[in-house]
Amino acid sequence: MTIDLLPFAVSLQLGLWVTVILAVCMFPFAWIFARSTKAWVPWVESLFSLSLVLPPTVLGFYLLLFFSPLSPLGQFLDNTFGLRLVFTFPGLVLASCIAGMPFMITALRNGIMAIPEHVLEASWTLGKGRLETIWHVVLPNMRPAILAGVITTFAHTLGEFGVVLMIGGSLPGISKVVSIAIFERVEAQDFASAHVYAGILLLTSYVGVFLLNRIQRTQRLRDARRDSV
Amino acid sequence: MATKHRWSCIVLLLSLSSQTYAQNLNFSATNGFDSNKVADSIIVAAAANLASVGDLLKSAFEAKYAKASVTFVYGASGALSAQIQNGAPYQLFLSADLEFPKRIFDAGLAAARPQIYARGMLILFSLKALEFKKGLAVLSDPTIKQFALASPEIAPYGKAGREALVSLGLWDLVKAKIVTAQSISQAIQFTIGATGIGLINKSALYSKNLASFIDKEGLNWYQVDDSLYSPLVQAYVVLKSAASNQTTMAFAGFLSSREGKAIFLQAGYALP
Amino acid sequence: MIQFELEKTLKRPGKSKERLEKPSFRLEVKFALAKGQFVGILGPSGSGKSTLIRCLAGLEKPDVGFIRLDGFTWFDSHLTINLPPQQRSIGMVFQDYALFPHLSALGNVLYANSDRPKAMEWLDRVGLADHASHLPRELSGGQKQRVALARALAREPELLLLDEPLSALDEELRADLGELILSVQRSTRITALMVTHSRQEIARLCDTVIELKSGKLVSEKSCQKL
Repeated sequence: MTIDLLPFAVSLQLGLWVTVILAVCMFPFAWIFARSTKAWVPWVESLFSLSLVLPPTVLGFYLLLFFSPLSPLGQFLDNTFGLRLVFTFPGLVLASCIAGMPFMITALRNGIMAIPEHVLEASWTLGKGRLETIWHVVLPNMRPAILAGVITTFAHTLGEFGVVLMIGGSLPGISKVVSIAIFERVEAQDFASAHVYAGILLLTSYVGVFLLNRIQRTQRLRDARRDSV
Repeated sequence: MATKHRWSCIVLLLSLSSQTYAQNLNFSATNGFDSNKVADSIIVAAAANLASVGDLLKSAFEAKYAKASVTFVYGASGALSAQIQNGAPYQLFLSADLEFPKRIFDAGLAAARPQIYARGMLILFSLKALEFKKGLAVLSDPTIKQFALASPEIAPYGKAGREALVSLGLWDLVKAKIVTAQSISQAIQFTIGATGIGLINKSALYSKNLASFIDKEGLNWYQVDDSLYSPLVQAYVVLKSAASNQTTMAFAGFLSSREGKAIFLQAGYALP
Repeated sequence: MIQFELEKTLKRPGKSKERLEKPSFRLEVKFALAKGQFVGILGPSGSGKSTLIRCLAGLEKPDVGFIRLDGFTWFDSHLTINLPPQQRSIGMVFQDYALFPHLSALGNVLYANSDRPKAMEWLDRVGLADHASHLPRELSGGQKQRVALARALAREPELLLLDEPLSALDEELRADLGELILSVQRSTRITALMVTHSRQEIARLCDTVIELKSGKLVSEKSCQKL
């Protein structure tokens, strides 16, 4: 049996980076999608969901072509910043962010939409600017939604396989995540090792998601007892 | 001694010495590498179904060159080719066919021509003991409802399987029973998990979960006559960026060496 | 003194026959409030009264017109000035209370004015000093509206806007809360504008009442109060 714990470290780091980056970066978009009535909003919103539609391997393939050091963009990034976005961990984070965007954005957007308009207006009439209102009123009142976004994005990133395989190259310690390690052991007909990897992954994911769900339920129960505010 | 005999002796002596000379060449080919210079970490991209022999090659090579480290990266040959064409940091590509290494060479990405390292062998495998006296014709038996075959369009072993069945005139009789797999690995999975019987690679027997069947030839598996299908030639190619890398060259040499060949034989392949 | 003149095209709400014939109507109001005056805006649903008060708050923008407080311009379409609500000296009470669910009664008032003693004073004034640490979900409708009132006044704004503040409450509570609003307005002498569809409320609380119908000011009267 060949069990190596390195893939777990890579998967965990990938999950954390992607979740944090998406939670922060997707918020402005979620805000616009939730509150703007401009005509272009549905069009752009649909663009963000595209990565859900493409098969992950196909998405990975196009990202590979797009950021390849042989492509114009890839060359520019390489020459100007010394940055490679294929077969590197940063490249993997970027690709996984693109793949995981829809999960975070949907959760955040729904959380923002659930806040009554008058509550935001009250904040403005009390002299608080938009950013202050978002920080002091919106965020504290969308905790369950943020948690939902975190759970689904993290879980999705951990299970991501197709994109990672294509753009990561399965390099140990860099892009070889648990899902790929399992695949490789299955291909080697080494099912015993595959079972162990899968078991550890399932167990840790289950515990993590269970805990987060518990927190979310407690929040929801509290909110359900609210009257219309 | 009679002239005839004398000439035979001379010829015999010459051939024996040339054998030794050739062996010496091989010997020096593998030992011609200074262990101190073979000290890098290299990455070998390999077709997914080579995973079990990959483990063996890695251990043997690293035992020989203590400072070197070989990392195997497995994938579908098509995906690996695409990655190589887009800057993947691999030093050597070990394929399960000749096509992909050729394409990489034609694309100008290889340091040298593809080198054949082994030949694959096709077998018919059954979880339940079967009467293999009739060879592949057993597939036309009404008791066999389905069998697994890798896709002839995309997998070399699938293509070989079809060729063999066509040569024996069995294709039309049995094609309705085929469960098509997308790769040889999937064909093995289907065979073990769903159909119970399938045309797979002999090297599958030498992997951990089928090892118990190795000595059950004629009972659980039957080696298809290799004249019935085009040779399943397997080649590797050293990538351009690794042209001067000692460790990569040592590994390439290792694959072609006696030791390397022995590993392939042990793993269910035939020599090229 | 608050002077304003506004015009805005509004969509007629609902699905009446009127709406099909004339889907939009024009809100046109010109008015001035003296300092300390308590004005009621009366009108049926869809007459534009909520829009009017929201324009004064800066939550909606008139098409044409101006809004000035003591010569200080909040809105002027010709000069393209439009101050957002944050920069207007207002306090607003909503029909559905609009309290911050995650903050206690005191927390809600502190949000407006971080001076703790002052905030407690306001809570006391609306009779909720012993409910300071209660969350909105633990308060009744009447209590919530009191907190909303305290919160709106804690910043000591120039103008108090009330958008149907009693409509969501039960009969019995309306009288009490109405009394509270009146007494607070009287003691602070704050200029106040209240939107309602109830003549009784107007009669009880306001100095002056203006009536809106289909967006037009149709009457302006003084009220006799006790």
